Amino acid sequence: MEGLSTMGISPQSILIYLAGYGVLFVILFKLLYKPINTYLEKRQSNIKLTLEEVERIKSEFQAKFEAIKDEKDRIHAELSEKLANTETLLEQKRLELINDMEAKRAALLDKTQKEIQTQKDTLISSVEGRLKDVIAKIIMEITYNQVPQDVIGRSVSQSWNEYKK
Amino acid sequence: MRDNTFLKKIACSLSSFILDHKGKLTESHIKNSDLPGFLKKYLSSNPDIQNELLELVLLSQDKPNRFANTQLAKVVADFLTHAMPYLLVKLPSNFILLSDSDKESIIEALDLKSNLKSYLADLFTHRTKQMVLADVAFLLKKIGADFIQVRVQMASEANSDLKTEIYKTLQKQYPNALITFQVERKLIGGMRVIADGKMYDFSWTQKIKNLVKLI
Repeated sequence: MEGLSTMGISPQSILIYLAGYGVLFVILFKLLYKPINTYLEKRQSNIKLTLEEVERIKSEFQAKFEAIKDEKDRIHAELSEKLANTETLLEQKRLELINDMEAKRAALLDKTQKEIQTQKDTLISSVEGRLKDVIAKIIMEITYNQVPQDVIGRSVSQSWNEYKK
Repeated sequence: MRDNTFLKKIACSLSSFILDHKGKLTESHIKNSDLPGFLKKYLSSNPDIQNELLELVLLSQDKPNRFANTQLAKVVADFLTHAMPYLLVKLPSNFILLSDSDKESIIEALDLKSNLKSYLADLFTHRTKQMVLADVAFLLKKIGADFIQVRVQMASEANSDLKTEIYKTLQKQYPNALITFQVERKLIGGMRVIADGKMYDFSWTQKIKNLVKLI
């Protein structure tokens, strides 16, 4: 106490100061704290409501997003399946076409080969025939009028003997 | 001969013979007549031939007749298919080219005795063998005879004996055949027989062809 007195601070002053501050607090509490508190509470409530709305919108958006994503996935899967099926079908058709073409090619080749062979055989046969005709004609030309009559005469009776047999 | 001269000749011979004997034919009449052998033989067994003769006359006049159904038709057909070609066999292939005197002597050698002698001599003298045979075929068709054609082609003219042998053998083989002989130089050698649509070829030409086929 004496120390405070030394510095010029009396207990009464302190009390007065304290009382003054107390009154100030009461006044401030009554006039400032409550409106501010009410305002803050309202603000908090508004913010909370806004946040809830945001959360709800967010949830709805998420749900819609999920739904769209699911739909997208489904469509994607469906498209993928269809694409896969189309590719399989395409491959199958391609193979069928190739096989068909191969078969037709083979048949055509076979037919061509046969035709070539037939033509070849005909040609060979024709050439052989012609050659034989020519040979026969040459032999006949040589023998015709070159064989003595008595030989020809004997040939007739020989042929007759052959006929009788 | 493409006309009915041959048929008329036979009809005339038969009718003259019947009229000469007033329809009363005896074996001696037939035997001593100048009818061709085939008619004598037929008359001996069938003296009553008036109806057949009538049909023959109708045929020779190209009138409706039934001569084809008669026995006389068969006898005539037999003469045409056998005797006529046989007489032709006896003639050389160049007969038509010979002089008249040579032809006459060859025909004499045939020893024809019937009243058909002058007709046949005239026929052989003025027509080729092929023509005569074509005429014979025509007549055979006309009298409705059932016959086939047998053609013997030879590279050269065969002697009479061989031709006779060939003729007789083929006649046995094909009883109702009209056998004809032909010289075909293209055969070069040998012969071939064409009978009833079949050809039996023993010619050199065929032998050469067969040999060439083996090449």
